[in-house]
Amino acid sequence: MREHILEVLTSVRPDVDFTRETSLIDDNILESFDVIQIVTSLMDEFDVDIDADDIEPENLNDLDAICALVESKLAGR
Amino acid sequence: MIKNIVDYLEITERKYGSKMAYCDENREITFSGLKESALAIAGGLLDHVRIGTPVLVYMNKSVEVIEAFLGVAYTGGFYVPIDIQMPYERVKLIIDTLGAKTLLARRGDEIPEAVKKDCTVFYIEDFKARFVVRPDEIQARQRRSIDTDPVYAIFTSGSTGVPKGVLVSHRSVINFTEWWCETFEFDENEVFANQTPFYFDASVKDIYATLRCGATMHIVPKKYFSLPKKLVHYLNEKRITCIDWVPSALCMIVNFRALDKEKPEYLKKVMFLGEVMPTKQFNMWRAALPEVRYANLYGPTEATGDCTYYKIEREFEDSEPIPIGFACNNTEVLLLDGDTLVTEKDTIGEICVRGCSLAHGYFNNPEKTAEAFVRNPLQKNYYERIYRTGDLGKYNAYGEIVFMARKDSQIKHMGHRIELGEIETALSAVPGVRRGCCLYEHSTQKIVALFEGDRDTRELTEALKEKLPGYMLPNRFVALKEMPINLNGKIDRTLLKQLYIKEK
Repeated sequence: MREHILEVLTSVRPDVDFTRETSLIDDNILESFDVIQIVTSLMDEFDVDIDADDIEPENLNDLDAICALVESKLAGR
Repeated sequence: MIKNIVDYLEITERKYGSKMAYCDENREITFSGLKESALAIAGGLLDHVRIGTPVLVYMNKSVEVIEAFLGVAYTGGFYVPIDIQMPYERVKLIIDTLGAKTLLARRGDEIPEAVKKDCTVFYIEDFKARFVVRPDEIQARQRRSIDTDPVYAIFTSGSTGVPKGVLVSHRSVINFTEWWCETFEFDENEVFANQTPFYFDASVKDIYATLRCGATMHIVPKKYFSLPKKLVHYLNEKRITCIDWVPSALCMIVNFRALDKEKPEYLKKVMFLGEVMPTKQFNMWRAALPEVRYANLYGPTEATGDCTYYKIEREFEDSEPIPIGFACNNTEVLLLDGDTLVTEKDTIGEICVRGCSLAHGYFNNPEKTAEAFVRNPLQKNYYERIYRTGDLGKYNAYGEIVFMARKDSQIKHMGHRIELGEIETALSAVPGVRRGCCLYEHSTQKIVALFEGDRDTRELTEALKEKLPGYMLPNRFVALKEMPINLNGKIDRTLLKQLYIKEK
């Protein structure tokens, strides 16, 4: 699943190394609309529901956090 | 008389001098403070700028940028806002097109060494600290300037790979601002939340309506546009009454149901610009905030601000497009099929504009100017210019104009106006790429690059990053053994679309 998520992330921002970055939001590495595209793609790809409460820096700052977010959503479905 | 945008500052400052004008995360400034800074900047620049010469404003989005804009306007020169994240190669193309020699910066923002070789760099902090007021000389400069002198040049993507500098006069900005403030009844109580970057013409609207009316404008920190809950909270915290944003920003709020958690309490006017607002998301806004007044605005940079507007009153089905509506006052919009006027409903024509909102053209680019700014074919008796937008539209059953599509390969991607040709030029120039073609997948909002050659995605992205801004980087690369060619010997885009693009 990690690979699948990485694929989604890379398709939105091919120039970012998601395996290395740890402060995607806090360091403004992702442009605002990138985040939205990423979340929308994750919702489509994994058929999960992510809403405004989940879109916080701590859930999106790095690949691990993003994987954890998707996993928690899959578990709660 | 009002002939220069600084006249707005002078008048408003007399009335509302101590009122808060512009704020960002770190700073706020009153109209009096703004006038003082602008005059100090003008004093410092005066010997380096003449009427009709460019000054690059190379700064992160902040209150200082507005000080710089008005400082330049006092000197009679025109400002050119540059995205500080833009790769140097592209900045260089802009500097060369303009023959620019003067650049205004902020201490603390990083400036590439190469830029310092091209231009003399001035820091606005130095001007403000020295505060050389030269009222007589500035007044003399103002006395000589006229309202058709340029106020700014904004660079947009060009299909041949070289960005085009749309050169706009004070007259056009004043014309637009008067119309906008009257139509939407802005006054000193309006509080704007600015979303659009200052190197886009859409920001001209918030900036000058604020200046004209003595209103207040908050520069929304960029990161809030990825955090829907914080964004809505910000609107309440700053008591925002009017937003004029790209649809992507508005859609994001409702798509993640941020309005279910908190409602913007002070918001009275919501407008969208820059690209098509999806009706489904618009209806979500309207259901959550039925008391708000909504308007759809349409207009290219070449026609300054908007050239049509539509106040949304009737109900719309999710599947029905929101019209772009009617021409703004003191602007005429013509639908032309070739040189013939389209008047009957449901017949498609190119959207063309007539009026003093028209830009002078593209700086130092007579060929591109002549292609788009043409003589009005309907007026045989005297010379009149119209601007051909390249957008196609039609009249619906209500006589409202509806946007249909583009004539060429220009796209709107996350609010950015992009010529796919510019990406193709950059792609084809990458060593190891024999041929390149770019398409846009509307259903997923992705730029797809197809190429012949032996490079991988990472190599291509690294190479393109040197030349293109981030929002122009392709989201997907497809390596082809051979690029399909049609009967005319050109890349067969129709076939490529069928094979590689998923549309709903």
